[in-house]
Amino acid sequence: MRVLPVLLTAVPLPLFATPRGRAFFSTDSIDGLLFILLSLVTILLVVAIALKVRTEMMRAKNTARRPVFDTTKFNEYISALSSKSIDAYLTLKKRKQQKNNGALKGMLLILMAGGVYSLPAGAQQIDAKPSALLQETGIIITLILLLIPIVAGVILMAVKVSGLIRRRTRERNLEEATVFADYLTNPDDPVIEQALEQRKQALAYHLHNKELAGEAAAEDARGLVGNINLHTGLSVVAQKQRARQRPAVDPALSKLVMWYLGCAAFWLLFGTTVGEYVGIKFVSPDVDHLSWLSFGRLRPVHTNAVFWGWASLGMLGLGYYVVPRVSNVPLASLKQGRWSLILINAAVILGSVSLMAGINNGGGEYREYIWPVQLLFGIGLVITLYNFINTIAVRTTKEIYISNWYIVAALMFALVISVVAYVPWWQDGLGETIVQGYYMHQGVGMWFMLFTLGIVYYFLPQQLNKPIYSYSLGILAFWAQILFYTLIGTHHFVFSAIPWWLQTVAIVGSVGMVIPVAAGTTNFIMTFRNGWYKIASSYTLPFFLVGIIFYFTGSLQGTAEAFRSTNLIWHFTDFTVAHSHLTMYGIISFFLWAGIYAVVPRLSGKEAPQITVGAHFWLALIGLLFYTIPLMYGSTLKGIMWMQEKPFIDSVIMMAPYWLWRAIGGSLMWLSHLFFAYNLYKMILGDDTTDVKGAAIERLNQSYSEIESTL
Amino acid sequence: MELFDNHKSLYRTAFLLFVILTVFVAIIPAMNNQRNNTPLPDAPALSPAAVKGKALFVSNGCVACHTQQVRNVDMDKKWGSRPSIAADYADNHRTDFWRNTATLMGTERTGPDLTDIGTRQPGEDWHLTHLFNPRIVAPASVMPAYPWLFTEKKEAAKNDVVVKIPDEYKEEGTVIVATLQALQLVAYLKELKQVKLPDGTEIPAFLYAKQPSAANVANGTAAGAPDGRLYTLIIVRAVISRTEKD
Repeated sequence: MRVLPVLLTAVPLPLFATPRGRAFFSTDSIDGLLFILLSLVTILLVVAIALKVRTEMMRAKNTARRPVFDTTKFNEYISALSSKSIDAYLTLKKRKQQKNNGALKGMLLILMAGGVYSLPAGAQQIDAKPSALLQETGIIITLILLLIPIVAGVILMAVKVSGLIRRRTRERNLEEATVFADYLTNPDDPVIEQALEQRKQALAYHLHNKELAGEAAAEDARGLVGNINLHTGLSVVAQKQRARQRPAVDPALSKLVMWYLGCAAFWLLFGTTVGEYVGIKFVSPDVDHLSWLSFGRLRPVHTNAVFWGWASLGMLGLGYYVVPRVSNVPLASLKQGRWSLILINAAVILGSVSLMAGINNGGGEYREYIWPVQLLFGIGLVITLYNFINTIAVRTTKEIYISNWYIVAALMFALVISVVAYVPWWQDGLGETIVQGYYMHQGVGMWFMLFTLGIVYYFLPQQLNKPIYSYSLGILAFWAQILFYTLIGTHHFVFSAIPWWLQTVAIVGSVGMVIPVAAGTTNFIMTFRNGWYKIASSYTLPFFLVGIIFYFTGSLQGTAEAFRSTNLIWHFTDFTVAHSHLTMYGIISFFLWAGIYAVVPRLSGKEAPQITVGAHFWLALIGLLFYTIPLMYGSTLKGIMWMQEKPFIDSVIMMAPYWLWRAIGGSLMWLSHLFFAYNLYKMILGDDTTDVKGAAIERLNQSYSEIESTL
Repeated sequence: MELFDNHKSLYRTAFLLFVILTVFVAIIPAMNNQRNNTPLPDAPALSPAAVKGKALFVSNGCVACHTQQVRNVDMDKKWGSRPSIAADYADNHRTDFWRNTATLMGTERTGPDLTDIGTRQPGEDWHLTHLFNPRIVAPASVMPAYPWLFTEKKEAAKNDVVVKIPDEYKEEGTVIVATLQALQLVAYLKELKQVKLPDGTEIPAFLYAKQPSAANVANGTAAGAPDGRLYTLIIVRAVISRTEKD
């Protein structure tokens, strides 16, 4: 509470004045945005310093020797004290301790204030060089968006650390108390001993807590008690809630969904292994000299495998669970589902091989598979669409749940864009480029984003065990997404030879995307309302939370990138690569993992070890940040160098450390996928040796049916 | 609401909305653009070798790092003598039954733009050596090497094109000979030249203003982002250049 005034005084007052007579918080007002940026940095700094101080405290406490009591002196004191004085002495001692704490807090405050006051000087130092950059609204917005998750993360960490400290303090106090009690029970003076004995007895008297419950073990007839942690003490990872047993799902459908997810995981591993290797090639271009493994061929192998293999199959797998579930009917055709899976897998296998062999469609991103290959994928989607619509058509609910709006729309739109992009009778000259802009961005926004949102609209409320905050916001986001997203494709070709008006429309559409993104984010965040505490005890919700944060920041970063002024700096640099990883990985992949960890235990009845789920989560998140932030920073520098008309090779040399960071972040992400694959293996196949109960029941059933059949 | 409870009307509405928008932002502009453009009168067609070279350029995914577009912004001046216009791409048609048109405009510039590489680097020797291993001519380059476009021989035959390669990049006592493919790829690169606009055509200007210099910023005189006036100017000039082209 005392931090706030410090913060306020630290901010230079003139910022609040708006000399140009503009609204303080408009995107026009650089001052306003800078203020937000500065506040975020300040918060970050304050929390970081606080964290440092507290960690030091904890370390000091941990390393401090056990308190040694001077026995003779202590006895002297004891013999001079009456039982009343003991109390007084105890309270006095307690107060003294509190005083010490107070002094520490004061020091902390001074430290924090010092940190804040020193900030303006530091900020100016940074300001001196790229101040022209800080005048750019788009860049400031991006910086702010970037800082939001970091600030959130640091604050979360601070909360966790202080919790840890509190617990540790409590433990220490207990220890001291034990020592003290020992002394009290063994004094030399018999009189005092007696007095203290009496006092001790009086103090020691307490109910043994079994007066009401009795000695017998508790009987939990209504199944109210669950998730009991029998292992006390400092655990390595927090114990999370186990997946709840739910009504059984049709085993055949379970099998289908798990096959989809298993294939998706395979393509994730394959695709990111290739991606990792491609990233290494930036650092070490001569690592191999094989044509099949050259950079230009592997890059599309990576992007297409994670697009059509991992993300698409993962989405479809979850979709096959969600669509029948929210329609309250069984899936129309399991057989068609299997065909779809086979076709899509075949497309990715053939596509990857042909790309490595040097056969591609002409270089448009995500359109690298030649049409016969992409046709297989398309047929797979047609079959799935037909299957889903047939399922929804016989639904037993009156309304169509919002998930099914998003999922079916995504399938329809993906087919439309594929047809537009692959029909062979047109696209001469710039026609190809215009269609490419449209195709590539609709692929991302209309296929991956829409479908994934549909999945989130089902799993997020389900995992929070409460309804979605607003159905209407979901509907608004749905139509707004179609309206604005369809327009934005050509913002990849700003300043190019395609019509100027089309570029402008794309930029306007990109700004319009604020509406669906804000609506969607609000809806998800508000669904969390009053349920934030559940994050700590769930291993799926953190994935959702990260997905939501990146949904907001990643999507709006796209808007910030689309402006002409920001395009000037960032277009053609690695910034786009960082952005696409923030979105395809930060949003889509995290949401998919959330859904997978939610649904597979329900299908198979087996759970992954929580520690490896945690490893997956943190490695993926930290890896993603290591990957994207240096890349964004470096590519901004690159854009500036280009504008200053430095020799091109200088910008390549400058990027080297940032590419190295990208490779490091990529390695962490890749490692996290190994954990994910292991978790999925545990959830789907696992080892059922521990499940004695299930086996026993099964045996009983068997013997029962045997008896029945013999009768 | 009836619309939302009937799956047929709901999905039909969404489908139609998407298709209509698609028609207006993708299909019509694309059609328009490809119908209303012809190659510039002086533009030479690619030679047969260069056509094969372009196919190699496509199949090796060079477009991942090399753009072929000079934007009408100041920083692109070094990649060509004028901004690229739609007519520059008009001669690109569908490659074959299997493969789509390749304008190769690109979206990333990890390597230099190649619109005018034929003018910048006219020498075949340089290209061949560079393709064999870019680090021979540009030590800081991160471009992949393409040794499979070359063969290592004990002795060159009569018609072989021998590539100058320093000893540390090959085995001693051998010569590196360019394959037909390497020569085709180089033929394509050498033919990548910006075509002169017909006489009397006004060359579209590089529109976007430079960023303010560091000195100006320090003095506090520079306006950061381009102001409204400049935007208007850019748009007006773009419209003029477009109408003239059409």
